[in-house]
Amino acid sequence: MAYQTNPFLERMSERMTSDLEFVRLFSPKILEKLSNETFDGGVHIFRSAPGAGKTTLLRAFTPPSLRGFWASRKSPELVESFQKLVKLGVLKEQSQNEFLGVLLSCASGYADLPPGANIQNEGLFRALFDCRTVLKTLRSLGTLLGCTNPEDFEKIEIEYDFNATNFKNIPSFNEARELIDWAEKTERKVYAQLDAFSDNGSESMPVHVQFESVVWLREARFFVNQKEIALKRLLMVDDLHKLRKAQRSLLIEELTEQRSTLPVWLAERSIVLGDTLLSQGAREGRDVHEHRLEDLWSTSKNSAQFIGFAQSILDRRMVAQDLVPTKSFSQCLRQELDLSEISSKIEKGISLFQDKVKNIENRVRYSEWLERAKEISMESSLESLFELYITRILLARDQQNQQLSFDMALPADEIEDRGSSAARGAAAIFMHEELKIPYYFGLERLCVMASANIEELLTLAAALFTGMQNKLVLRNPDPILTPLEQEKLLKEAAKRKRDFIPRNHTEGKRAQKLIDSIGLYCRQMTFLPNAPVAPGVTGIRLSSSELKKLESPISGNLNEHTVLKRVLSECAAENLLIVRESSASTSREHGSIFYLNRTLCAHFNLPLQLGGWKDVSVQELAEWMETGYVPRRQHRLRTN
Amino acid sequence: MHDQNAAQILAKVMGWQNLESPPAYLPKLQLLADYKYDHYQRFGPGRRFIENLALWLDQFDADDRPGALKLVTERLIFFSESEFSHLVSTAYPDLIIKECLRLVAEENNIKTYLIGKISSQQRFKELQLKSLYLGLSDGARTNELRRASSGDITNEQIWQAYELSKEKAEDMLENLQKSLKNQGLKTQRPRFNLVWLLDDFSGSGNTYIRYDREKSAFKGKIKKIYERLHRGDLVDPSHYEVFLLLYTATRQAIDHIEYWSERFTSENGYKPLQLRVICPIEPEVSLKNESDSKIKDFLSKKKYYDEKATDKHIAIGGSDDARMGFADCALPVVLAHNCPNNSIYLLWGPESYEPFGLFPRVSRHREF
Repeated sequence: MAYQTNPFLERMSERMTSDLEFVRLFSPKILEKLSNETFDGGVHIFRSAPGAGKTTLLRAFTPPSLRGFWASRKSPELVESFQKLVKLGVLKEQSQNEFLGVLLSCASGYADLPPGANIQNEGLFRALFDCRTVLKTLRSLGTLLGCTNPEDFEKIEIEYDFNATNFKNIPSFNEARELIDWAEKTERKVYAQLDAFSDNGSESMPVHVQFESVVWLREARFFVNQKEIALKRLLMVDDLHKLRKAQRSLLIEELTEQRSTLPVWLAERSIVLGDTLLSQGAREGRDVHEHRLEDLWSTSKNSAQFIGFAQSILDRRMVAQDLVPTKSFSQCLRQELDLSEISSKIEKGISLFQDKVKNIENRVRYSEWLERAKEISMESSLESLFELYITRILLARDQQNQQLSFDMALPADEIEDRGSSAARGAAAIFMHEELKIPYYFGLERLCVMASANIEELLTLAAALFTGMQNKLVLRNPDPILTPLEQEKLLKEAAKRKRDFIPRNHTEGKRAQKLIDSIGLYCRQMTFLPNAPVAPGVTGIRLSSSELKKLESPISGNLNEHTVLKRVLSECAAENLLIVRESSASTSREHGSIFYLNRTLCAHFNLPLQLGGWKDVSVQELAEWMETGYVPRRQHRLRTN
Repeated sequence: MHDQNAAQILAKVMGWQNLESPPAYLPKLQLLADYKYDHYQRFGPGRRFIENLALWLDQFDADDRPGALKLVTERLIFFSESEFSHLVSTAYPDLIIKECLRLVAEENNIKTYLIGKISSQQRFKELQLKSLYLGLSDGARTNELRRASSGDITNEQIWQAYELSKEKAEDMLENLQKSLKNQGLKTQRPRFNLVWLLDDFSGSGNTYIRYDREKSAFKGKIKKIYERLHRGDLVDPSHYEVFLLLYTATRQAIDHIEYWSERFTSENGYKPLQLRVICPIEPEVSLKNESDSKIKDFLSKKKYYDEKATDKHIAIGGSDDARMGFADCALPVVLAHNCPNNSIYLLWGPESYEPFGLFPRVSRHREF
C-alpha cells in the first residue's frame, strides 16, 4: 500500500488498536505515578484535557491487556511493564487470574435516558448501569479465563456472603450464564422503555433504588473448578463527561456514599467542571480522590520524569514502524546547534551588540563590562553570544534602575553575579527573536511543548516523523533532523493547533482572539530590553478580586463576563491555558495564573519555561476577547 | 516498486532539495495512488502510479516539470472502477424507474408525486417488462446494471451490443411474451415500448451521431439503431421511446448529440432521442482555456507530442492532431479501464510513443 499512516497519529485509546499492539506501545512509566491508595477502596476521579492518557491508563488494567502483559513477561521490551504491574499487585509471576479490571464506558445509552431527576428516571439510570456492570464483569471474567464460546461460561460459579443475598434487583444466581441472561434481558427492557412513545409506568420497567452492582462486584466470589479467581477487583468507568449533569452527580454522590472497599476509578474530561475549573482550590474530599493527570508531571522533578515517560512512548512507536530505519526517536533529533550552521548569525549578533552599546561606550560605569564584552566578541562562538546578550539585558536593567551616584565602573564579575539561569533563558529567546537562532528543538523542549499531554506529544512527534521520512525521500543518508528543521516542523504544528481553536470550542472565534491577545501581550512583556520577567512572560494572572468579578459580574458587564468565564473555562479544559494557583504575598493577593499552552508559546515565539506572568484585569481580558489586544504604543496613538 | 524507492525517484526527478517540497505533494499523491491511480488497468507489469509519474515527468525539461506536476495534482479527474460502479448502480433507481413512473403518470393523468399509486398501475409493470436495454460498447456495464435492478431487469431484456441478429431479436420477443403472460397482461404481438441505449463515456458525441458533409449523410451508432428499430419487429413504430443513457459525458458531447440527433430524427420522422447523463462533465474542466500560467506553458509546448498519434480516426473529430485530444476536447479525464482519447495526448499517449502518456491508452482501432 502506497499510503501508510504515520505511527504517531494512531491513538491507543481507540478500540481499533489490537490488544497486542496496545501492550507493545504502552509505556509503563505512568504506573509509577499511581500511588497504592488508588487500589484501595473509594472513588478515584481521573480528570484531564482530552489526550492526556486517561483511557489508555484504564485500558491497561482490562483483562485482554493484562493477559497480553502476562504473556510477554519474558520479552525484553515488555518486561518492564510486567514488573511494574507485579509491583502494584495486579499481576503475579505464576498466575494471571488474580486481578479483574472491569471497564465501562458512559459514551452510549445513558444520555438517551429520559431527563429529569425523578425516582423513575434515576431508577432507570441505575438499572442500566447495574446490568451493564454485571454483564461487563462476567464477560471480562470470560476473557480472563480465555472463554471463547457462550458454553464456556458454564464453568464459572458465583457464591455470595449471606449479606449479599439481600440485593433487591440483582438476582443471586450461582451460574454465570443465568446472570448474563438476566443482565441482557434487563438492558433490553431499558431500551424498550427508551423506544416507548409514552411513559406507561409499566411494572416490568427496571427501576433500581441504588447502584447495587458495585456492592455485587465487591461481594460476589467467582470460582472455576472450585478454585477462586479474581480475588482483587477494580471497577473503571470512562467518559463520565458524556453523562447528563444530573446523572453524573448522582453516580459520584452515591458511589461515594457507599464507601465501598472496592476501588472505583472514574475518568472524565476537565470540561465537565465548567466554570469551577477557574478556581483551583483543592477538591479532594475524604472519600473522593481527584487526580488531575496533567498535575502528575507538574513539579520540576516530575517534569524530568515526564521526559523519560515521553521518550519511552516515542521509542516504542519508532520500534513498531519500518518506514524510518531507526529504533530511537531522540536519536533522529539533533540536540545541539552546529557552529557552521549559525556562524553568520553569531557574527550578526556580535555586530548588533556593538550597535546597541554605541551610545554608552564612553560611560565609565560600564567600561569594564564593555571591555569584557569586547574580549568575548573575539571568540565567535555560541557561548560568547550568550554572554553578550546577558550583558545587554543587564545593561538595560542597570540603565533603568540608575540612581544618582558616582559614575564608578561596575566590576566585570558582577555580570556573573547578576546573570542568572533566568537571564540566560531570556538571552536564548532574545537570540531566537532577533537572529533566528533555533530555539524549539531537541527532545527536552519537545516534551515541554507537549504540556504534559500525550496526544499533544504524539501530534508534535508525528510532524517530526514526517520530516524524518521526507529526509529519506530526499536521499539523505540518515533521517536526523537539524535544529532548524525541527523548529520549522514544530512551529508549523503549533500554527495548526492555533488555527484549529475555532473548530473545537463553543465560542471558537472569541477563544482564538483571546489566546492571540494573551500571546501578543506576553510577547510585548517578554521582549522588553531589560527582560524584567526573565526568561519571559508566558501567562497572565487574575487576582482573587478580579476572579470575583467573573463570579458575580455587575449588571453592565453581565453578558461580557459570562462569555469570558465560559471561554476561559473551555480553554482551561482543553489545555490551551494551564491554570495554576498563585499564592498571596506581602505585595499581592492570591489568584489564578493562566499560562499559555507550551505549544502555543512556540507559535508566539515565547520561552517554554513556566514561570513569568503579569497581572491583568477581567475588563482587559473581555476587551481582548472581543477586539483583540492592541500593543501599548499603538493604543496611545489611537486615543490621541 | 517499493514505495520509498518510488518516492525517492520522484524527488530526484523533481529536483527537490529541502524538506518543504515532499510533504506538499507526496502524501496527496500517495493517498490518491492507493485509492485509485494504482488501479489503472493499462499500466504495464510491475508499474504503479508514483514510479510511472516519475518516469513521465523525466521526459520533460526540468523547467516544465513543475507545470506537469501541477496538472496532475490540480486538474486530473480520474474515475475509478468503484466510482463508476456507483454511477451504474444509481442508473436504474434514480433514472430508469423515474422515467417509467413519469410515463405512466402522464398516460393515466396521475400526479407525479403519488409514487405508490403510479407503481401499483398494471401499466407500470408492463412498461418494466417492455423495456429493452442495449449496450453501445463494452463499457456499457450491462451486467452491473442488471444486477443493480434487483431482478427487475432480466437477462431476456438486456444485451451487451446494439446490433441484434434476427434470431436474438426473436428470442427476446418470445421471452417477452412469456413474461407478459405470467403477469396476466395482453400478449398479442408483444413488442418493446422503451429502448435504453447504454454507454459509459462520451467526450465529443461523434461516435453516436455525426454529419458527413462530403457524403451529405448522417453516420454513427444512433443512425444504425433507429434503422434497426424501424424494421418493426422489436418495437412498435407508433409507440416507443428511445433513451440514450450515458454514465458520464462532457457538455460538449451532450450538446452535440442533442443537436444532431434532433436533426436526424426529425428529418427521418423518427421519435426524438432522449439523452440522459448521470454525471455531466462541464466545460470548465477542459484545459482549452487553462488560466494557470505554468500549466498553460507546459501544454503549449509542441515538442511534447508524437506525430504517430495523428491518424485518420483523429481527423473524424475535426482536429489536425491529437495534442489536445480527439475533437480538441482537451480533457484531463482518465477512466480506470482506459484513458479516453478525448483527453490531452500527454495523458493517454501509448507506452511505445515518445513521449508516452501518464496513463497509456489501448486504442480501439487497429493501427498500422
